[in-house]
Amino acid sequence: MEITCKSYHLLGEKLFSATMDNGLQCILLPKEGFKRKFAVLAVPCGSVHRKAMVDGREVTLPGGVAHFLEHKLFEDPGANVENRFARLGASVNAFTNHTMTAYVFSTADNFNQCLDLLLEFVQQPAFTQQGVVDERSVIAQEIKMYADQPYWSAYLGTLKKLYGKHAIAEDIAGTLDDLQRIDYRVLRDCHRFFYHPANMVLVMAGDLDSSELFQHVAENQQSREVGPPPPAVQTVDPAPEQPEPADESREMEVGRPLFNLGFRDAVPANWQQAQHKETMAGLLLEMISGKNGDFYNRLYDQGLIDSSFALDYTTSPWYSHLIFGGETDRPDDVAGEIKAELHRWRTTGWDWSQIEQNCNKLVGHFVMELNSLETTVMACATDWLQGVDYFKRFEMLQNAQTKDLKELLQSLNLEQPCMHVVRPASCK
Amino acid sequence: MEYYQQKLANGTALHMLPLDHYKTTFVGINLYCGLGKERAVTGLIPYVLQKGSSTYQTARQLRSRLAELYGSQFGAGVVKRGEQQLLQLRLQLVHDSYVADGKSLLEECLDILRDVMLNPYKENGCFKPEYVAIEKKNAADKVRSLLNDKSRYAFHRCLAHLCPDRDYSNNKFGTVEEVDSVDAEQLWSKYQEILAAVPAEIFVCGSYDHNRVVDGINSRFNWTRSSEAVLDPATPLKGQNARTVHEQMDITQGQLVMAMTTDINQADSRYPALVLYNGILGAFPHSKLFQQVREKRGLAYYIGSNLDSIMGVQFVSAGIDAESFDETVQVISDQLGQMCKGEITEDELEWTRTGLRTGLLQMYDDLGEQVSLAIDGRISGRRWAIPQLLDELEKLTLNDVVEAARTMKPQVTYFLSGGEG
Repeated sequence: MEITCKSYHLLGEKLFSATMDNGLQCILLPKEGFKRKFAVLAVPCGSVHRKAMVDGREVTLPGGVAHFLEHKLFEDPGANVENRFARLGASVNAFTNHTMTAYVFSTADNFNQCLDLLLEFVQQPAFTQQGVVDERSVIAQEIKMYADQPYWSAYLGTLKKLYGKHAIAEDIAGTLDDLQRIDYRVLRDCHRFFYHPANMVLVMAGDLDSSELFQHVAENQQSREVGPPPPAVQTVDPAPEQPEPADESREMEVGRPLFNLGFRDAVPANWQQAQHKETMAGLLLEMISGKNGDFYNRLYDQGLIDSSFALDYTTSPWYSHLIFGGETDRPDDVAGEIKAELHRWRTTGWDWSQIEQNCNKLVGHFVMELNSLETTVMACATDWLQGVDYFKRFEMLQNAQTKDLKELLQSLNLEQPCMHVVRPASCK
Repeated sequence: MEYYQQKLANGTALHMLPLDHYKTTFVGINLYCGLGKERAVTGLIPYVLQKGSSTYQTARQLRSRLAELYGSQFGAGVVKRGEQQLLQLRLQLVHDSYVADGKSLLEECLDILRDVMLNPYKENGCFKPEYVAIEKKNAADKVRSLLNDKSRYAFHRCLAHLCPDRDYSNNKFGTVEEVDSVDAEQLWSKYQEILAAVPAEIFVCGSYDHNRVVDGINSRFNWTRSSEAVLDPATPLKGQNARTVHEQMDITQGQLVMAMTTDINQADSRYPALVLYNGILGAFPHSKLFQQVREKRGLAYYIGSNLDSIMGVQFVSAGIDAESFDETVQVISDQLGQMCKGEITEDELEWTRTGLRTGLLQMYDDLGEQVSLAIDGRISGRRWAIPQLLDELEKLTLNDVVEAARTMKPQVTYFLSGGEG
């Protein structure tokens, strides 16, 4: 096992990495002085991973399967997994997003024992047929909880308008109908297709020693039976052509209207490009709509937006989009302003004098986020899973070129915006 | 690690807590304003302050300068803790060692903080009426949008039923009507009163040079104050008869919030036992509530309990189907009954003790939580330090937990659901 160490002097950070014999990639971020210790085991199995090629045949899985599997890996024949962590004084959690499932624990003591437990429960499923059936009602409550959240509803509504029928536009937990189609066999298949050690990334952070720790992981993995290499090539459907844009609104029990306005963006060729694009988008959007800019303050002073105004830029080789959102009494006016501002940036108004100020701002924020082990560990795992290094983003920010930002402005599809508005229910 | 403490010449307390593994310096100013009749006025002040100062006359100018200073983060707002409304100004800046060209941010950031707090932008000796108008609209909107988050809304409704005649039941921004009636002059004179008399504390934490901070704070924040009002220790809620309230709304998932009172709060020496009791009942995945309501019966996705240890209240909350209401409430009551009878396994007790210990140790890394602990101590009248809590936790017995459980008095069972709940 070869351990590589990279130093990021400007950030005062080090990153140790090694690949185990079975292909598991391990990373340690040593954090001297911290009492907290974290580890995340990330698996490239998200809500968009719904297909696999098995023995030359394409297998399709139901919606919500990655998330359901995340729940069921916590089943344990003896105590349940939460209890086994509790015994060690640690807490465990997991979540599923579009592109991955992540299992994370946090502790102050017993780090190696926690690590063994994490690797065991994720790599060696112990769920039962009955357990799968019982879990449906819990996940149904989770789906219902999200159904009552107007922000989530506006976000999903916008994705549906942007992508039509594609896994990216579906609820991560699936639908209540999907739950009935997920059984023991489906979950076992999903685990077999996506959970090979060679696909996973383990990221750890805390006041820990790298050589001792990597040795421990190596021994743990040697003692574990590893099945044959994954039988499948996982595939994700590329996003289909955008349907004809149409704005949509729905009524819910809300106190104020809220909106999401989305634009598709050209997809990058690979994850390296995606990382670069996302970093540049962070900078460009800070320049266009940051709190230190004209646009935000003008709309704020007109009473069109308030501090709930936010945006999200997401990109991957399969889908790519920019979504603005917030609460407002006048969604149509806000949408009009956003569209006009983006067009203005693309055609006439290049206020590039702001680039240095906004670079400084994001560089500072990058450093501040390193105070949080959770944030750093998750960001590292997300990037490493796609073969890219999180700390590269810091260099990219420092080397940002106006040409990168101009390219991004051109690649956004400003011609086909889609809006989803949630309005207060009319009086009955 | 303990706070270094000092009083400024004007009576303001300065607390400093070095955390050398942090990459930032945090500065927080807290003014303890109470949550009484003028809450809507106080609630607006920090938002109007952010609109402009004498040096940075617009929010845009202020935010631009902060951006240049490596994205130094400035925020101001109000926080409700017990029956206190805290007016907070917060600043976070990157430590010099991460700043290019050997620049230093501390003094300039403190200048900005001082300018915003003590030299607000004025027109005719008062806050600018346009700034006040915008923030009145925003504050009223925040009150309206409480409905956008169903679990928060349900929690507030539960409070309204729990203690309608106590300040504790109020929203930190007041009501829409209260916000509407505020004017710029009133806002200005209230702020002058606050600066002159309410208890004030400054916290500096993280990575910093001690002497520069002491000088920097003393030379900038020694504003004129008359005499500092005394902060009376919080008065916990008094228990009444148990009652059940159902309210309806067009929603998919029902929101259950149960409130119980106890005569133990943070000022009481039994406080660590209360925390352990709450942990066993509902603060962890291994706790009784999660195990019985979610794992055994699949009634909920989220279920748990938490404490307001200033007011002596425990809340149990869950998202459930309307038809599961009776069953869920029964299961919760059964668990409360078990706690009172001492039907607690060795595992439940020890896992919770260990889990709480980990939480306390991890608190050493979290400057926000450490400041909160100090603030709660100030409000409740008794300040607990982490080592002391760790020590007490180890000594607690099953009997201490049972005694804490027996002080709980069920008050309001609130349920918000769609259709016929």
